[in-house]
Amino acid sequence: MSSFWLHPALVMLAGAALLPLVPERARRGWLLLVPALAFARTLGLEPGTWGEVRFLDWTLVFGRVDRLSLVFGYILALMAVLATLYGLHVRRVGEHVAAWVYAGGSLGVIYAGDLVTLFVFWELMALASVFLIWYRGRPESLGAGYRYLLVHLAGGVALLAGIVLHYQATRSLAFEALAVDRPTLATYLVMTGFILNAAVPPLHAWLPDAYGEATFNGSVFLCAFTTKTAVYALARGLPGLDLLVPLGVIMAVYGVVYAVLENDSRRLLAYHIISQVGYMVAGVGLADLDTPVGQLALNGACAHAFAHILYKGLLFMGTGAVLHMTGESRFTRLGGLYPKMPWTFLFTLIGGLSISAFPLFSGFISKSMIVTASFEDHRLWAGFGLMLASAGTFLHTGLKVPYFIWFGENRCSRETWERAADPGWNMTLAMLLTAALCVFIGCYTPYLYGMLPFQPVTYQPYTSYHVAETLQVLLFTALGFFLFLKKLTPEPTISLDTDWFYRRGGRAFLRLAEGPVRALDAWWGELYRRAGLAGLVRAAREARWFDQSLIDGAVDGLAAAVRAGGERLRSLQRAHVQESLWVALAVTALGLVGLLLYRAW
Amino acid sequence: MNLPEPLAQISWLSVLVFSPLAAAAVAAVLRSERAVRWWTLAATLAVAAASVPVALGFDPTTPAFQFVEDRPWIPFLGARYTLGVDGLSLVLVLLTTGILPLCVLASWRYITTRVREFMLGLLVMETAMVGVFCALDFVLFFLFWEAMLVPMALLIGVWGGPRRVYAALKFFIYTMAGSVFLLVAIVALYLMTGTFDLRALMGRGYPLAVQVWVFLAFFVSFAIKVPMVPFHTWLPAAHVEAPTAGSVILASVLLKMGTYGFLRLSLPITPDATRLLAPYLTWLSVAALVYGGLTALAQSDLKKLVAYSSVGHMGFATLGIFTLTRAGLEGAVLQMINHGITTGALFICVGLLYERLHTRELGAAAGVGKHVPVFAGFFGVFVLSSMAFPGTNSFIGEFLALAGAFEASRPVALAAVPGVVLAAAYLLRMLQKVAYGSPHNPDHAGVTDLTLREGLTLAPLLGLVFWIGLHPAPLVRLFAASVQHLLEQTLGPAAVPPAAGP
Amino acid sequence: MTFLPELVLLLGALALFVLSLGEGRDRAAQRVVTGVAAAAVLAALVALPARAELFEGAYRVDAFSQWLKLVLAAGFGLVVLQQGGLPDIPGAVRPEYHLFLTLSVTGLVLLVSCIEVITLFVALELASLPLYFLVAMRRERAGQRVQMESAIKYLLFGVTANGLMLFGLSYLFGLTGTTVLPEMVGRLYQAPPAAALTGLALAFCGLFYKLAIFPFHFWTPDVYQGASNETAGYVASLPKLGAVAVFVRFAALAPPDARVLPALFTGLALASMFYGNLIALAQTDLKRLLGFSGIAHAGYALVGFVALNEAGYLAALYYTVAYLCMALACFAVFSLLAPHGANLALGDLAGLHRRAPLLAVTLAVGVFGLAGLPPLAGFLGKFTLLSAAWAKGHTVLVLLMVVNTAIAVYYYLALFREAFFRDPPEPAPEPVRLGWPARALCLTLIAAILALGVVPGRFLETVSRSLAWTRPGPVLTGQTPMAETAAPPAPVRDLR
Repeated sequence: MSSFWLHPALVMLAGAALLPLVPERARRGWLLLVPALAFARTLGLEPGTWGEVRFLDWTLVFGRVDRLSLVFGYILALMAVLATLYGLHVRRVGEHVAAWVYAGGSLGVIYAGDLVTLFVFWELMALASVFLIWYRGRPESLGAGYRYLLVHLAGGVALLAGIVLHYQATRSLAFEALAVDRPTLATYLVMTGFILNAAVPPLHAWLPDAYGEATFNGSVFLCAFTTKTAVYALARGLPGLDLLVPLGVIMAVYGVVYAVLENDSRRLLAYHIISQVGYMVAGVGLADLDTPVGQLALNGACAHAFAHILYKGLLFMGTGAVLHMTGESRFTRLGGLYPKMPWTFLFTLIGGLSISAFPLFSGFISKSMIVTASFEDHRLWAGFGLMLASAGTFLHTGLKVPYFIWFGENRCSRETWERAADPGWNMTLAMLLTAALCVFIGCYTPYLYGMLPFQPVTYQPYTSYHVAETLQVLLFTALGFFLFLKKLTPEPTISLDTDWFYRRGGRAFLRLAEGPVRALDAWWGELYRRAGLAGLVRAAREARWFDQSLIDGAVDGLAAAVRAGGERLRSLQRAHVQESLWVALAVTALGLVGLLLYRAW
Repeated sequence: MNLPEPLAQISWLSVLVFSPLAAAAVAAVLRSERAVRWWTLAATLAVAAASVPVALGFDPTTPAFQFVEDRPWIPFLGARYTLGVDGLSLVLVLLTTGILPLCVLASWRYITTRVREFMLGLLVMETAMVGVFCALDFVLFFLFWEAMLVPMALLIGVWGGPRRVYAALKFFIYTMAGSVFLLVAIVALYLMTGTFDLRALMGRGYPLAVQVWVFLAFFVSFAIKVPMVPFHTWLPAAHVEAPTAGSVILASVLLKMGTYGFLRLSLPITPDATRLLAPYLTWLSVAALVYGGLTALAQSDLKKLVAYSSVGHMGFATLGIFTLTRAGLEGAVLQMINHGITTGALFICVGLLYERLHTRELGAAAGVGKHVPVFAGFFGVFVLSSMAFPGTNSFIGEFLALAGAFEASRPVALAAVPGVVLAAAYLLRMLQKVAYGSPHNPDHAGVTDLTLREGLTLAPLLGLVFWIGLHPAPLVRLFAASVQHLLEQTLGPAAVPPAAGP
Repeated sequence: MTFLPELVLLLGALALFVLSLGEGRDRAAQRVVTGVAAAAVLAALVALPARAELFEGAYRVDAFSQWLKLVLAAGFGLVVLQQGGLPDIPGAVRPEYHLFLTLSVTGLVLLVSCIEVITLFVALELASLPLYFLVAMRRERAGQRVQMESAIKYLLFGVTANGLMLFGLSYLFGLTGTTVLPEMVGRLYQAPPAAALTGLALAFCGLFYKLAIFPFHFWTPDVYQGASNETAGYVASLPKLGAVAVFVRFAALAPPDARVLPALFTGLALASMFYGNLIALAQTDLKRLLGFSGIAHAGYALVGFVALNEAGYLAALYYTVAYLCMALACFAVFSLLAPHGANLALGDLAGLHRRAPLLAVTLAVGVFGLAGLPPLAGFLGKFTLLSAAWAKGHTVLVLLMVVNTAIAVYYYLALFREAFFRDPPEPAPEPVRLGWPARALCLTLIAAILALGVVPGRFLETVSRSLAWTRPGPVLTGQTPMAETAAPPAPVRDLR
């Protein structure tokens, strides 16, 4: 190793390793200290290449620091601080350890300078994060976690295969932009690995499945790290890969559609991650780095990731708080909680506004960059698709979530109502800080723009045209929402909602939700949940049967057959001496004749 | 070999081969069982220690055989007593001598009846196994090769589980049936060359037809030992019934005999046939990977699960071998070592679980992890290592093997990928069940965590898992030259790129 | 001096004859026979270097005969040790038993030196006739009356086979006008081949019978089963060696480039192997099982003669000696295990490792030797046989023989399984007591089997040197005759 270089991930990992040893009293201090240190370390990073290690015939680079990795490292470390603060009161040490290892893993990916290191931390993330799901302890959680881990390992293997192929082709392990203009099998394998973590349909099913099942603060971590790390990897490895643009747009719309159909608030948000990440993926796809538009797109992707981590975290904090306090996350069991938990409502609303790209909130200044880029790149369909999605976003996250949880008809069961209240100080504080950041970013653009990889950022979101256009879309949506409020009232099952959609198919994106797409997702989710594993298990059963009855049977059967042959032959050996004498003489005579013939021939 | 003068005089390999036998002779006359246990432990440790100077004195820069001893044995037949090690055999010898003390420890409490005979069996096994890896004369090789059968069959058949007799006989007959073909091949080669010296047999341009026949004869006997699908069915039976130490020896060392045979005999002696048939064999290996994975996924018996996982993992080794690339071969050798370490450890873990719960049913063991955190920790690490998690030993081996496969043939490599996922699937299933499984199981109330002895049994393996995983360079350096040489023997010097980057 | 071993045995026989006249002399008889055996070994050692032609060239004392005599004498000693107190022979006839045994051995010892067909035939009969009595001498008891029947079978088969042999010999005499084998060789080549072939083939019948080779094998299992354990042990071991020796003498008559005799031998060898091994799979009576395995092993030995060259004879002789030790080991275990001389079934071995570890180990060594596992003698024996036959290009035979060894493992393992894997039945039979002769016997056999397998160098060289006379043309004293035969005519063709 060259001169020792303190890796932020190392801080997290070491902290996690030591956490169990920290005495009960000092634990909270430790919980606050370690992420803060890691964050401070990311602030102190100098651009350059650090921490090179010889491993076999390769040089592993643990610290490749440039503007791109800086911005992601910054926000992820920051999120680690906030999320830990949010879960400060959680007693289970193991959960904190898992969360930190997970965060450390993603930091490791961010600063990885070569593909092997990338892969190592990639797998570490997958493994650590599953505990955040398992720790919820419900049987469903165990199953969901198992599926989650399997899918991610599968993705990891695809990534590994891609890496190996890439290495075969280029003899280099450096983690740089792959040649996207001439995509090879290696490129696609690597992309598969990345977009699986980015939850691009059809590889998205794990996300709502798992995030809905995670612990209340686990989701806060999960929503931040996995997908954003994937976005970073895409931005680093495959900027400007055209395939990503349609994929991104599809994601954006797709996520929105299912978010609307979702009844569980956390699953709704989970679907919604897909939609938001779609923007970033599209941004990366647009990012042909030689053109200003491409640079704008990449900036947008980074900015949006930055903003999204914050407001999505905030939203999960809010709903998580509801879940934590009431033990309930389904709209059909909530409502009218405003008087009980007003602060939570406020923060969640801020989150909702930010995510809906409401002016003055963080989402606005980031999302619009991507949309603009797509328009300037003359990909109108992409632009419109994204705008459509943002409208839907506002509909369900900006309005539906707050409304049906805090207002609307009170459907709370008795004890839910009893238990409801604003959460503990640490959770509130965490939400407060996050909310503040969202607003701050939205109002003071240089803060975020100053960090983006491509400087100077000339883009100006607050043009009158842009603001007006956005407001139009949003207000129209709001109008629609309140007009059709009754009809939008969530039902315990999806089918009834869609039943309603059938009767009153109006808006474009709702029509999208009809038949095919919904069926597809339902089917895919089923496939993933049931057939995926069950099919594997069935195949496994058949393989076992084959092994035991056919192969094993063949072997034992052969032995038995030989033995049976012996039994049969045995009848030759009879006790009658005359008989056997006859046989002997006959054989001799025959033998002699045979000999003479053989000789003559 | 570069050893200080007094040490250089000793013929180390003979010491390694025959000291266990001597120890067995002593153990045979010892009175108390305790004494036998301790004596065997001491003896195996001493042998392990004796293998250190070999490792230190070994010169890794040359592929030549070292520590060579050559004495006439049966001059009439031209069979000689020839020992020697190169990089390949050295690492396996080290593995063997290193694993044996752990086997003794693992059977400390597991074996209660007729301890003396058991320990005798272990020691005789050690002699035979080390002998196989060291022998450079074909008759000698075959002698040690067969000498493993009887003690192993005894270990399974006397101290095994309920169906032990069936398992032992199956193991014996199956492997014996395989090795008679090896005998035929030996005779054939002898009749053609008039020598038994392996070194002399290599690199003669036999006619292709001869090579193919000889290769097939080799293949049958080695494929059964590995075991490659579809010759594997003796393995689950033997593993399930064998006592812990038996399973460990089987998994850690015996299975390596097959792959070692491929590396030592098939490739250098019948290179043309190898090149001819390698593509099919890579496919067979991939089949083994997937097949082993699938079957393992369906097992509810822990030992069976691990046994089938061995089929899969050894599939990786053979895959690496028959890619006939430098990366592939190095990966294969590493995989052999890693499988020896990891699977051995897993079998020990299963054995410990069995001592506590008296069952190997996955369902019955579900959730026991909560009561035995230390055990769960060890178990988790070994499971991760077994699924080739980055940072553990298996990762680097499988990575290299995969790299070699990609070099050799892309479809094969891509077909192998699902095998890796399958491995993850069944191993995680096991881990999740054992560590988190059903919340409350009354039977697990009184379960105690690892004792010091048990910890000591697993700790070295744990160390190796991470040492090889994080710093494999020294290990690889030991056999890199030999692999390079082997490649040149197989592909012809021209076809081999000079040693640069795997 | 040159005739010493024979003399010793004859005198011993005489002494036993005298003893047998009196009553209740079995103890004394046993001592005498032991003494005779020891003396015979010594005499054979002394006479080892002797070389001579006696009785107008009818009787040749050469290296070949002398080492065989030594082995026979040693085997005699082992047999005597193994008999112990002859539990299953009526006390009244024990002296006679010893007498006949000694006579039979004498016959064998004479046999290996005979090079003149008449004397040879007489010696053969002298070796065979006492056996019929030995078999019949078993004590009669409830459920054990087969011995007479077995003896009769044995007798009838013997008579038939010897008749055929005599017929064949008469052919040879008629064709060559001489009864001395060495002179026969040359003249037989000029004789009309068909007749010569018939003569040889018929002459071999007698030896097939002794070796228990298909189709003259039928007597084997019945006789083994009927005879007492000790007798079976003898019948199974020594006579075969004598027979192989004679076989060598006759095989040397065949022209080295013959192709018909090898064909005959190949067929018979294969028939015997498969017949013996397959049926043995289905046996439960231990002696019957070994009987069938004996047939198979005779088949193996015959493989050596297929080569019709020195390497082949060497292999056959070596293998037979090895077989002698291994079979003796097994039968010794049986006789020691059955104190009252009853026949044993597979099940009776259950838990042997508990009841008598030494016996268990002896059995294991013997059985695995028979199965051909290194480092035991059986392995090297099969190895030399394979190489010899393959060197002459008999690939199919070699492969089928290998298949047979694989099959055979199965029933040998059955013995092993009973002895080691099964627990003793309840109530546990009393542990077996072993006197020092028994221990000595077991250890000697184990040592012999191991030594033949691990350090056979000296032995092989002695044998090959003693076979010099079988080589066509000038006598080669090459250190490694195998290597010389190993020069491949065309390896590719061999292997196809």
